[in-house]
Amino acid sequence: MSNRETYDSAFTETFMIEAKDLPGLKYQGVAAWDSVGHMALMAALEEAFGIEMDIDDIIEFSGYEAGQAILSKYNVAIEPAA
Amino acid sequence: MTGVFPSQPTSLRLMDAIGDSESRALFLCEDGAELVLGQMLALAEHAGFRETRRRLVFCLSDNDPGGLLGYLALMRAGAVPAMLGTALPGERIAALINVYRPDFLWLPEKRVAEFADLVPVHDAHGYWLLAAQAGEGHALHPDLALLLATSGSTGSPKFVRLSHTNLHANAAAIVRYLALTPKDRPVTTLPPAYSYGLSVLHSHLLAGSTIALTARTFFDRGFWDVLRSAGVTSLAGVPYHYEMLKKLRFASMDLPALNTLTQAGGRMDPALTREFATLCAERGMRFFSMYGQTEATARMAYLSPDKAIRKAGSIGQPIPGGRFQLIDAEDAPVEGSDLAGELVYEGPNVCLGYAEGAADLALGDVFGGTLRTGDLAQRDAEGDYTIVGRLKRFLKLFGYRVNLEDIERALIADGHAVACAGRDDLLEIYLVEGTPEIGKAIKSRLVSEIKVAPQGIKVHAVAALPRGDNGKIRYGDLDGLSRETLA
Repeated sequence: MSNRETYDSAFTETFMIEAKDLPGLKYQGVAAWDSVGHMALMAALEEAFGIEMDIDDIIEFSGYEAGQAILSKYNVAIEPAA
Repeated sequence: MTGVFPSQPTSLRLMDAIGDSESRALFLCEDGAELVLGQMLALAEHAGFRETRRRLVFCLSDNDPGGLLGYLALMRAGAVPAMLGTALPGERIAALINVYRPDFLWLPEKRVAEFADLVPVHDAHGYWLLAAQAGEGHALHPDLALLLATSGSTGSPKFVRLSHTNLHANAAAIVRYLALTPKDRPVTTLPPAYSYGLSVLHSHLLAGSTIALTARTFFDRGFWDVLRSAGVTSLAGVPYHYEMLKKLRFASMDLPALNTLTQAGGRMDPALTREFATLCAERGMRFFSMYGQTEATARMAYLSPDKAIRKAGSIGQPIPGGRFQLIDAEDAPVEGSDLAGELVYEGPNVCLGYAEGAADLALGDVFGGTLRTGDLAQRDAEGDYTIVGRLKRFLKLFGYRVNLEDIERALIADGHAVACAGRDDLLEIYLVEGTPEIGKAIKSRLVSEIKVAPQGIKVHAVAALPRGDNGKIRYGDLDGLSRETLA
């Protein structure tokens, strides 16, 4: 699985939404991405990519696009969307 | 109409007890502005608000100036608010309006358009007071002060009926055991429609404290800015808040003003309690494990902070003015140490009773100061209590109560062969002959209907449900079944 697929599926499985809903998605933009959902998303990404994120990055992780830039700090490159 | 028991004498009201000093700061906003008592009084004295006296008002308040000043002004004006979550879907509110026929609604401006048949009366701080056209006025029992939902997020029509005595007694007991003073500075981490959130508000208002007001969550940098700039001294959280704090490496944060953490809203993993209790002890902070139910206004018990590490997992002892008893299946008292029985609470904060429709609002005190909690507990030699199980079939998801029977009934009505079980923060659905598609569909439906995070629900496929000779499901055996997790 590409990093993009892994990244996307962390969102779709955590929030039970479709891949088409991901672009532009922001924290608290859907009911499932509340603070409980955020914690689950961070755990899912950390497990999928084998990383441990800093507190600042967990707080700055404000959306689907912003998250990709944050993961690059952990040497996780999300490939451009197909 | 009078209740089964004689009504309690009229006693101190919370809103009278907080005084009339117009310059007193009730809330400190994010921008540093203060909301003072005089602003709340001005709202309460507005002609529209005066009309709400002894009328039923649906109150959809968030943690913002309009939400909290409006709620307090309604209480001050003598209204009987029924607290509802601001995220409750319009059709659920419409259903509740049908059942209760409130005379007024207080709600954020952005939701006004959903209630086109109501008459706008007054707006303040981004909220509106709307009046029902055919406001008929209900027979409200004189002791009735406030209605709180038994199940926070589902829009269930069942409310707990609370009196002014209930509200004042519980707030006063909390002020005493937390030793609250005007110097304390809590922050709004819990919604006002939630009994724990309201208890933080009420107890600090009674203590003379000013409350830092924010709608932000822990995962918002602005929340931590508010915490520092407002000099917040205490945080109130349900178990998932503590999981978040751990994830955010709370131990590494520098929050010099913070001196107290409180936890309620369901069972927390004792290891997590011990971790936070230890951290607090190292920093000279207090950690309170607490226990309550909406039927007891909010609080029933707390564990003394000096026992927080050694007795992590215990709920401690009754609050001032309260009393616990353990009873067996025949209602006989359980006297010895470390023997389990149903936990029964007595105190002035036990609600008047339930309401399931408008007619019930005329009822008086049905509970008579005694609450059967439905929780199984045992008492140790030091007199501290620990919850060891639950008699009633409900669990708490992220602090909110969910009735397992209701969920099971709804799924069976849809044609599924299911049983529901789980523990706090995890609802488990056992589905006979389930496929991944059906499992996912059930989970999606529950997520949207009971408004709970998907992480709080698991759907398992099992070969058959374990049943006793009488055909009843043996819920205790579900956990041991061989299963495949579908969603």
